[in-house]
Amino acid sequence: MLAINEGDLMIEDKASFVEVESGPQVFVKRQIETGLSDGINIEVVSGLKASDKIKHR
Amino acid sequence: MTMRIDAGRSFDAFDEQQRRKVAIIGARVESQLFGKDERALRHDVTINGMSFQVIGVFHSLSNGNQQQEEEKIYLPNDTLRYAFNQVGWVGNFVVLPKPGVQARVAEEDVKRYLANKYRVNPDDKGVFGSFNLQNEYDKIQGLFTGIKMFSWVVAIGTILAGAIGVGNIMLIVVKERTREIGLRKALGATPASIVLMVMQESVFITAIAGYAGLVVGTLVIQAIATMLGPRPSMLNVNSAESQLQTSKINLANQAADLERYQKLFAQHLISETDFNQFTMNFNVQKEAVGSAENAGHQRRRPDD
Repeated sequence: MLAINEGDLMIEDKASFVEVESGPQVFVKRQIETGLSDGINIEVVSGLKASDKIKHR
Repeated sequence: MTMRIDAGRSFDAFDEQQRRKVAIIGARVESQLFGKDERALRHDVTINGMSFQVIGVFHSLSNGNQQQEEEKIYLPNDTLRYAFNQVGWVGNFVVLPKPGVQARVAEEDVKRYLANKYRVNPDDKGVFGSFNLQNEYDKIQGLFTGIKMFSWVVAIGTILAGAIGVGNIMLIVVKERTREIGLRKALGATPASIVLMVMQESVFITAIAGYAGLVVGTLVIQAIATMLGPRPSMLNVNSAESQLQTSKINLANQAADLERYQKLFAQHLISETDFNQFTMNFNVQKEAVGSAENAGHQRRRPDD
């Protein structure tokens, strides 16, 4: 199971996004699907691989 | 809310939507409830028998009531409402007027709107209470303007006294030189050249005496400052205040001295240089007290 820090998540209306690094210090907004959360970290159901680097906010 | 999250995160939409039992706590709450080497993040705090998970710890960026702010615990609004049976009920709220709108006007408007909405007699002051800082702020501003005006009056008065003194002594000088001037005129001096001569002399004397007074005054102040030891710290307002009082008393004494000096000067009992020097010293000290006073007020204001 993949989980990210919930603070790095951007929540807009119905969809959630993270900013994924596409090149050195270049970030693209990508929609992901989230699952359970323990308050600190939130499960990523789809949209992200373990090798992806996301922007810390 | 002027705060910075030190650990964890702030609230997000999920906290609100799912009414999660989560909390953001102030740095002082963490240090009071948790051990020295223990971090509050992820742990639970119990409020009225209900557990809330700490998802963030913040420190306050406000500079007046920082301590008070950091003793706060924030919950998502919906969580608070549903957990503590406060749905559909507002105890109080904060209104921030647009820039350029007077807080006093906004306060009246909001109260009128509420009275209209809930069908309350607008003259009934007991139903909606309100508080805004503008009146207090205006009062303090007025005080500052008053202090400024007063110091201006004193400064102008001092300068005037000095100018009149110098004018007086020049008059005496001219009278004493009636013979010399007559001689010069007889030898072909124009009135302009005589006026120029007198003016040059007075400007020269005043400039020399003024600068000497300025330098001596600064040195004296510096000497006193080093004798008094290090400057009072920010927290030590009381001692700064009492120092201010003593220097005010000194100033009052000096003002009395100044008057005496002026009298002596008028009777030509002391030299002009001495007089100017004293006036300068007085001005420099007065400025020092003035700025100390301002600093004291500024230091005190956030705590009030």
